[in-house]
Amino acid sequence: MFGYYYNKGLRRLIVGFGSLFSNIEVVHDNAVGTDTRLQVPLTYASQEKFIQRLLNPSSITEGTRIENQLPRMSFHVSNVTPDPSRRRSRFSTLSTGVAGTNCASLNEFSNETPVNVGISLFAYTRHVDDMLQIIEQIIPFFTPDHVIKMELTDGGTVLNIPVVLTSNNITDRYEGDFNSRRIHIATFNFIAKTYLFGKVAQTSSIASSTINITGFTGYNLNDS
Amino acid sequence: MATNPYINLTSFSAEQNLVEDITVELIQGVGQDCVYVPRNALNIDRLFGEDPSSYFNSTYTIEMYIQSYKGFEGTDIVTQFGIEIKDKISLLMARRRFRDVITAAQPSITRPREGDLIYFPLSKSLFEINFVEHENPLYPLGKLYSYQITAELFTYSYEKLITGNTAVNSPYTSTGVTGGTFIPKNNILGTTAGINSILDTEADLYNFDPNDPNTGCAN
Repeated sequence: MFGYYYNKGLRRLIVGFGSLFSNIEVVHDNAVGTDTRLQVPLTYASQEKFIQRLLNPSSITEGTRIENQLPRMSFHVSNVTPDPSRRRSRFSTLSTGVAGTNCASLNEFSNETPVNVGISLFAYTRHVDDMLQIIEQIIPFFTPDHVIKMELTDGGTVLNIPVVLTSNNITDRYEGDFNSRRIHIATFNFIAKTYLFGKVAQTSSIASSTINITGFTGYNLNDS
Repeated sequence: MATNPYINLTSFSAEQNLVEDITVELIQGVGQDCVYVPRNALNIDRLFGEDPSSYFNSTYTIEMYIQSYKGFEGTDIVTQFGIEIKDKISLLMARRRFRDVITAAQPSITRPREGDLIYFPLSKSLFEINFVEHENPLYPLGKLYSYQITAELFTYSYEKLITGNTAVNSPYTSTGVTGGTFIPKNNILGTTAGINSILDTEADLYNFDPNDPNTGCAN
């Protein structure tokens, strides 16, 4: 109905959000020798099951079999909701020059649609101390929001996108018989106040204009 | 009423030793050689009751009988953190053999301990002992002869595996150490190492700087 377009606005947001947490580290304090310092692996939670089974270590893969490797983190988008409170006039547009055309051609963007994107971030550790290290590297940066800056469309403008930490929860399962082990999972819920853009139209810039004036009488345009 | 000393055999050491011999012989006859890997505590955190820096540096080969003969009591599952392999196993180990092999080498280890590892070579699985049942069967002829071990695949958290056994050591590998940081071993989709570097690379294409997001003026 509206014609195909895909600006990858949400993909860009997901990448930007994920890269906020790609350099979280955990250190194991060895009383003797060098401490073990490791980068916490981060993944997008939702992945095709068959691809995981084929390409990742599983029970059918050669090599030493273990249950999993901790600590780990993952995240996924849980909802995308329009936010009318941030909406501007739908009739104005924004134009930016197309690269390499010396502004002869323009990308014309209709006004953005503000949306709130709910994103959940999970951390899974074996040790309490690992979890505390991860939490301390996240929460202080969200007071309650942390503004990221990125292009949401090709050739578009760079926008500020506040990411708000709305809640967090720590699941600490340690009770029960000895058939299961203790685990810690923390969940952080965020809202990214981002924008979606419609189809980008191509226009030309106004290089010259002609004015025809008629109907004047008794007035000389050359008079000062 | 006291027990009958003429027909009650719960205190005859000759009978007890016979049963113990048979137990050892049975496990050696139909069991499987496994590798027992004791855990060494290094820096126990008494507040949280854990030791993230514990390590493993010795192995002992000892025979065990597989009680869960129908298969591992678990399967692969997909969670938000990737694939988890939920295999469990139930093993039987002779007490006398444990004393002869492991206690003789490390006198402080007097029984199989929860948290120690068992490498099961048939499936190349590294199990962690969850529980050791020491009273099943319950005092036949007045003595205990075996340990029943319940184990689950190891949830590895970067403990040092520095034994002489390559298969046991293999989870303790990395793509290298960058700036003092241990980067986990990589694979195609990043179940192990994650997609950290992929995110960073793609974010650069979108003029995103997560370390300094407020620099410059945004429109």
